[in-house]
Amino acid sequence: MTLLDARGLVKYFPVTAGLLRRRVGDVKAVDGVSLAIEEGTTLALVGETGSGKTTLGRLLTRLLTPTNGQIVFEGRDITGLDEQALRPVRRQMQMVFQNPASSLNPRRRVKEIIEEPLVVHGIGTPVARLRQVRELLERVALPPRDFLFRYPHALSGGQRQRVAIARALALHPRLIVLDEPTSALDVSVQAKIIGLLRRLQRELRLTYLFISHDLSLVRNVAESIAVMYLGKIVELAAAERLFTSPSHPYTRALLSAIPTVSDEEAALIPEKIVLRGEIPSPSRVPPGCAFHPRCYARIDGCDRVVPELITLGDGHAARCILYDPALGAPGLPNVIARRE
Amino acid sequence: MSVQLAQRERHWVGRSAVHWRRFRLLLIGGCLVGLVVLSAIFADVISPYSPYDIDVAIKLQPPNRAHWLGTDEFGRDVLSRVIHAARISVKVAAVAVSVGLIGGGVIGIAAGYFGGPVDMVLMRFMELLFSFPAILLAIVLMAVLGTSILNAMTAIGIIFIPGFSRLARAATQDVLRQQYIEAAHTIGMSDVRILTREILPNIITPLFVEAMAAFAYAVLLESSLSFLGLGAQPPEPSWGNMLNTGRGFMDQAPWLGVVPGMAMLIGVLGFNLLGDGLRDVFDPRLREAA
Repeated sequence: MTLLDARGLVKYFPVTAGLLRRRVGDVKAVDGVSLAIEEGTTLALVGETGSGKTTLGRLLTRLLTPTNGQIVFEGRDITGLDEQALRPVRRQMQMVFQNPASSLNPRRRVKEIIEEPLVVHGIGTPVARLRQVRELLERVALPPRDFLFRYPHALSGGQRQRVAIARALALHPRLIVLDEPTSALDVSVQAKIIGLLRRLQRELRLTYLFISHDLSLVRNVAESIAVMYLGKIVELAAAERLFTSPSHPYTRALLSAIPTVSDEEAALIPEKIVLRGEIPSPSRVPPGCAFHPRCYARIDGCDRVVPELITLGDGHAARCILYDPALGAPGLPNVIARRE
Repeated sequence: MSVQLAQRERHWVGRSAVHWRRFRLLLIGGCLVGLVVLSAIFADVISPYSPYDIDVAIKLQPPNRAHWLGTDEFGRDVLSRVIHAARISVKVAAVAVSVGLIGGGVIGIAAGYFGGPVDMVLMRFMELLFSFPAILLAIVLMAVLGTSILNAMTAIGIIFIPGFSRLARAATQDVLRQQYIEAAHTIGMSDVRILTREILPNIITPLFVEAMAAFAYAVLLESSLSFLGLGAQPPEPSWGNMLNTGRGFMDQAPWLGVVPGMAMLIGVLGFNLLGDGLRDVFDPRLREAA
């Protein structure tokens, strides 16, 4: 069953200038994204800084209101709901943020932080809530006795993130948006948090939207992966398929950039591709295919035609003119390495 | 190992030296403020005479054993009057700072939190108030409101509102950038609850530190108003109106001017040092730098 379905989501942030706040342009943070998340699965959203993945996460949880498009959650359109009407929806979708140092209020104790969602939604008596907070702490493997009355500054990064996860679980949500939940943590702690998240998903039948810039991390947690570039999904596939047959030139470049420690691993990834330049600013998206200025497989027309997301079968789709049947779908050339 | 130990030791010595320097400021400020506040509270108990008892027979006596700080032109005991004047100063300063803190805090938090047109309108109005010299604004307000101690408190409080509002707005915007505010939205907290539970506790410290510094300024402003005859009305003693009277007797009886002047110095210096000391203790940026 599809839990969350986004259709044609668009979010433009206006750029204003001058005394009268005249609108001189838009930052196209998210530009026409459609995706669906099946209940109990994990969809990973991968992209560089500035690709719009975080904005997309904020749109789906309605922390931001989309400029255009539609969000359907549990079969219900939640796009236009106001803050009041969103309250019951918010119980079902929670969020874990990137930086646990700033996602916990430094002036409140662990108990208050985890209890807050219950208080806000008027759940239980104080005694019942305390019991629930204890259970939540045990779920995230923090002994309640030691942690209930601590302040966030007395916790390590991993412990803080566990508290943030406990807070997200308090309302028994069905969907949790994980916005780079491990990127601020040490590698050893990362593995533990990922392990915890997977255990919780099994035990509680949770659905995750996992936002990350780390493809190799996502491979172990997600059923399907969406790769974003400048506000658009450029490739969407089941996790294994994305790794075995990456189809968009950008995905292939990302995969080739994964560091390897052994020859076997190195054999799995395509030739080393070094992209030219940096991701452009979303306020000045190149014409045609947004990726064309950095693309190594560019052909004539890439700078004019905006490519559609083309289905390659089995839920695999890529936004690249090379798969356009009208052009005979030549596909990506095999030898594309250009060592520069 | 020994290098490490030595480093740690030096680090520790450095820290404690910095701590001591700060603590000393706090201590001196606290003592001076304590002196003024205690005089204000226990004025009736500690002052040797009534500040209002006139005895023309002993007028303009220099400091002597019976009247430690001399007597004024009506033969009133200067020590008793200066002690009672502390009461006015502390009372006016406390009320005025509260008015500024609460008024400025509410305006600043609202402007910072709601942003947009609310921010625009509120802050432009604050800038308008800010653009007048403080004492001039106070005189204008007193002229409109009428001369009384209560109005002096209000006028000084209004002068403080723009400063507190700017501070509260900046601190609020700082907190708004923290992810726990987004987290608060995702769990469905209302605006009021976010303002009182998440934002207020995180901006209260700089506001309190600013309040201490404002206290010193309030003492000075109250004295200025009284000096100009707009604050405490004779025969009620105030450092400002005592100074004003003393001005006329500077060559015959200099203690009439020097004593209230020294009292103001003690009060203002004390509140300033206390404010600075508190800022050093509470400002995390300064703490990390040490």
